[in-house]
Amino acid sequence: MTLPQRIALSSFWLSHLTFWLTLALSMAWGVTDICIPYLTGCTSITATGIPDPQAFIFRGGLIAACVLFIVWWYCMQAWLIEIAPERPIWTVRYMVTAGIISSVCLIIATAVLRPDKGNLPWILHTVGAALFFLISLAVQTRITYWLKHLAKRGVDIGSSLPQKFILVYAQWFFLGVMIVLQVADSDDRWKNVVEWWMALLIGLFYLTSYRDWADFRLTDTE
Amino acid sequence: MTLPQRTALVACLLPIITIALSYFLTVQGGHKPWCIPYFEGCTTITATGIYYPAAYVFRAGLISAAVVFILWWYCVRAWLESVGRPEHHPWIHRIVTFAIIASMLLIASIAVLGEHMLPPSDHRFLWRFHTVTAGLFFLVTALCQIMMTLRMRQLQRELNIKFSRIASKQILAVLQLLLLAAFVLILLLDLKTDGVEEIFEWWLATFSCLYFYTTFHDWRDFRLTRREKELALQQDETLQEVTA
Repeated sequence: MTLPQRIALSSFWLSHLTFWLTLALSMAWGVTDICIPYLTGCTSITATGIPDPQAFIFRGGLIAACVLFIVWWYCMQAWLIEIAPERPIWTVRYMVTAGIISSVCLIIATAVLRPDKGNLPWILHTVGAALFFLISLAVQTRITYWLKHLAKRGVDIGSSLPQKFILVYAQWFFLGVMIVLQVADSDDRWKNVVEWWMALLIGLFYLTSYRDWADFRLTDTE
Repeated sequence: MTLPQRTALVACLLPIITIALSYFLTVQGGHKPWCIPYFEGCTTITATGIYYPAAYVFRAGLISAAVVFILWWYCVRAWLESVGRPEHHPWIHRIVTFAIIASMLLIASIAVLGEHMLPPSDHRFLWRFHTVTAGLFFLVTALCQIMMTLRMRQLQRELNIKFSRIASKQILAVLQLLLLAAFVLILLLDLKTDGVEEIFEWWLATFSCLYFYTTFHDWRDFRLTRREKELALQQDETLQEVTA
């Protein structure tokens, strides 16, 4: 397994194992009902990371995963430069910067979580998390279209483009749903469902590069 | 600046800036006195990451820094392997694996910190967990850094490193070891020390960070990624053409 493949795998699994483990612990200790939040929205991702000791796992896992996301974006840039015959458009060249900004937003959103909900800086957390989702979606969409552009020119971009399109379109769909829910001031349960799916889709996007990067070596020593 | 150089710089500066900012916020909040902890030992590094909002900065910065340490160790592995002595590889791999485990322990150690640990008498398990994991991080990282220095000495010619650069690493590694030995002595002999442990802790963390920085100059010509190497080659060719 190459280093970029490891980064793709660990970006997804570290973040999602963190979510699922904290969710399982919340259920085991009766903090939340036993349910499937992707379907029922019984709890939000944030809620699983607030009470101790789940919060220890949550912040340790998710902040570490955010740094891996940054490395993933670096790998993506290096890969694009290696496979593409032309210099990428500026929006693609600056994707590492955008990836860093989105990851820092999520780091901030995660770091401010604390057990005493009353004193939690909710605005900072919400803005940080929302910016992460929005910027990640924007950059993932840009990359997907850039890959399509390269594929049309006969560049071997791997086999994950259809999956990437499905994941990106699904994220835009859920973003639209979230906007409608916010405007309609809907029940939190539906917002929770959207939040869980958005996080899963963003994570799966990182994972899709696993197969594409089978022959991509970041370093000579690999 | 090359990618490994950036990694070395971030591995050194991120924890130092994080701890300094957390300490500033802790003092501003009135939780700890204003002093120079390197000489007065008025507070521990841990104490700067307990009170909010300093704890937010502390956990965000240091958990991120721990992942950067892992990347730094990966660079070390690639660098030492680039010499092309396969007989050294298993040894290097082992050092890097231990150092990565140490960085993971740092993540665990930082993740538990917060105001929920107060008062300390009610949360003995969390404090013990933090102390043990942080202690193991310092111990294993220092030992791995010493091992790395030894290996660098053996590969000095192939890596084209000046003696002074290895010497600076040796000094930092030995200082860390002395501080760790002093810690163990204080613990074993149950000595009553007022602020000495705190002073040692600040210096130990600083030496460990400075060690990460020492590779900054070593890695001036080391390119981690193939892309970086290609760009460097292109630049060299252009330079040669201009000179010709």
